Amino acid sequence: METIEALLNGFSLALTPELLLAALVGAIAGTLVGVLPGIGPVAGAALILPLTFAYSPAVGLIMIAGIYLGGQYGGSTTSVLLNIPGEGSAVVATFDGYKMTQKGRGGAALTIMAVGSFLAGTIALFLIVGLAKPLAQFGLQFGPSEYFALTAGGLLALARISGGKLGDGLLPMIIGVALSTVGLEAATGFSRFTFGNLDLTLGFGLPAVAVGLFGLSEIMLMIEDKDGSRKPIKVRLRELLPTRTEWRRAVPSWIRGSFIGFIFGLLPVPSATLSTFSSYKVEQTVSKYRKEIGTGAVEGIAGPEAANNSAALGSLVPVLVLGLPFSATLALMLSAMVVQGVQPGPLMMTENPDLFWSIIAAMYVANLMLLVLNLPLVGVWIKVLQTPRYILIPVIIVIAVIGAFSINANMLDVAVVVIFGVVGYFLRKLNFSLASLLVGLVLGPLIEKYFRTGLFISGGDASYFFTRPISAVIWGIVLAVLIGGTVMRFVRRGRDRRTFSTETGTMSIDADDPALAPITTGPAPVSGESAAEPVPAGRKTATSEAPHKRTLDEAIKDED
Amino acid sequence: MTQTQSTSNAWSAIGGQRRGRIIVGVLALVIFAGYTWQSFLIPFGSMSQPGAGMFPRVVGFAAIAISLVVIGEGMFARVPGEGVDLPRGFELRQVVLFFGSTALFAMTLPILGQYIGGTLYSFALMSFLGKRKPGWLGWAKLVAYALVIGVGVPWVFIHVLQLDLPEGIILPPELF
Repeated sequence: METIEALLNGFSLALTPELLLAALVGAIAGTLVGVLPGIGPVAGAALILPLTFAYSPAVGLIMIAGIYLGGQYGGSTTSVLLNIPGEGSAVVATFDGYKMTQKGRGGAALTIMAVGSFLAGTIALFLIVGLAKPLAQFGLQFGPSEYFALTAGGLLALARISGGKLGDGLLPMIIGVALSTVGLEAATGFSRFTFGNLDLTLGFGLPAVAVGLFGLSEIMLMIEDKDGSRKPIKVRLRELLPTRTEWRRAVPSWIRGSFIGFIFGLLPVPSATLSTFSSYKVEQTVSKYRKEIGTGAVEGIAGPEAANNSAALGSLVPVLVLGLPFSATLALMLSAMVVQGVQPGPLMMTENPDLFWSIIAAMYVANLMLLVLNLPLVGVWIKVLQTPRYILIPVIIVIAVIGAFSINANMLDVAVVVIFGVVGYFLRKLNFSLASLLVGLVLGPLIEKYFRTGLFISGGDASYFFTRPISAVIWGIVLAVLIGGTVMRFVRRGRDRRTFSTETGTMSIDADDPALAPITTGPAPVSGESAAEPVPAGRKTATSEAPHKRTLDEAIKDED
Repeated sequence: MTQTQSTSNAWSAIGGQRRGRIIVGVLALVIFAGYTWQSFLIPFGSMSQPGAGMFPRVVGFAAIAISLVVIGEGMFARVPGEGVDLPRGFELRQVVLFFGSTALFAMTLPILGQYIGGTLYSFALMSFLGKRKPGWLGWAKLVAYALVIGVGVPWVFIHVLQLDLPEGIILPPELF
């Protein structure tokens, strides 16, 4: 009851003109960055971050949250209309969404996505109301040992899950953590790795690193993309309305996707991407129309899109209740909180209830705005997509430089954008996961803080970090995640070897399963042409031969 | 040998995921060896009273281990490595020009300032990125667009959002 009252109070705050405007700006900016090539939610949130410091914490955080949600929606819009996923979590939307567009049901697919996202947001809101208080109370039992296990263990688990090979996630993660040690050390004020450079004492700014890694590197990839002049299929307003059958078929998938997404949101994993793929697999297994999935079925877009949105809201819980972000955009949100003097964690609900509940309520309001605004604005997004890239690119770079410089009025931040643009470009080319670098950069100082506090408390006994019950359980789970992947790979390799036919050279994987098969996200046919055929599953295809094939691993690496 | 072929060969020399990972792993190993060495120059403290150098030292050793893992993955991977989809020919030229002009923009920003630097950069970028693309605007429109991006966009940030941007040494400070 008390929680519901607090939520209602949050809504009354979120509906003030200032916060409504913040949610609106965030939702529109988020959709724009999701739709625009070369600038995803992380780069978008990073660009907005310095601008938010002039406003109250609630305004800044709500704008970033709006960008997060809007980015998910915008990314999926390009999946449906162009067969180009704006980011990792939008890959699944290409499976059935683009097929629906080819059948002339692209408008209906967009409506199903938008309504599903709103419904998922509503379900997630109820789940947050139910879970936030017990989780915060549970969080109050946490000391440095438990927090160290959550931050260090969670980061390790995220890095492991984000990457295909062991090094794919771990190397960027440790680079991020190492970067976080540059500058003035918080407890002693000792200047570390600055080599006498005063500019470096402030350390590496998260927004500058994020803009370089995710923005500049993406633009470099975009420039070399020969297929950048694809034209989206036009969607008329009257085509936006799904048929009665489509509505009926979408409802169960929305509900299933909402619960799946929320659960993934609570975990230290690339939740948006994993939840969409999991939801798609669930639909393939339990849906009444499972045989149609992959051919432009409503269920193939309704479930994953609801999961995507629900995961976005669910992932706010660990940030607000425990102060732990497990995605790059949420890392930026945490960074904004720290700059604004807000301490996220179990006490936030009791010490700062207005802010806590107004953020949750504003996320819901942003969801509603996305529903109301984005469908009528679909023509605008298509126009944005048609803007020549050579005009968009200088606009993005000029804004990026302004954003990076304005944080500390420091030219070093501009240089950081350029340097990390190149680093990000080559790391992407070599399939490294970039999200773990950014999360490592944010969690690094927290890990160090809990590490040092734990050693102080325990009198230098390192076993303190592993022997307390909660931390022991967390480390057990982390160990299972770290080893589990390798064990599963050995099991799968053994099974594949058994089913591998040396005569035909093919593997016994269901070739019709788009969630398993590499998918085509490359040159999409213009209206009237047939879709590019996906490569049959199981066929090993070198990247140089098929540069546009993307798998789940790649989608996870793309998650912001 | 044509220019394109030589470029292609240059890329193939570092091409391949395996070789790429080994290069990245070795680079990381060298950088983190230096990082770890530097961390020994920071006060370590004791186990019960940790100093500023303890955590970097742990990170340094972990980073060296991870770099070795990446090198090992490159050297001993069982599945043959895929190629690295690096740009060639015209695309390579575009990427290099883009990066070069962006780096130049960043370096000259303290001298030219946001307005002049942004305008010149936007003009240069639109010229070489757009010239061979459909829907080419023509030079007059290009100058107008460059002015909007280079002057209009920063003006909004400076005068509406009250942000400080690089002034440079050419234009009078009152404009900022």
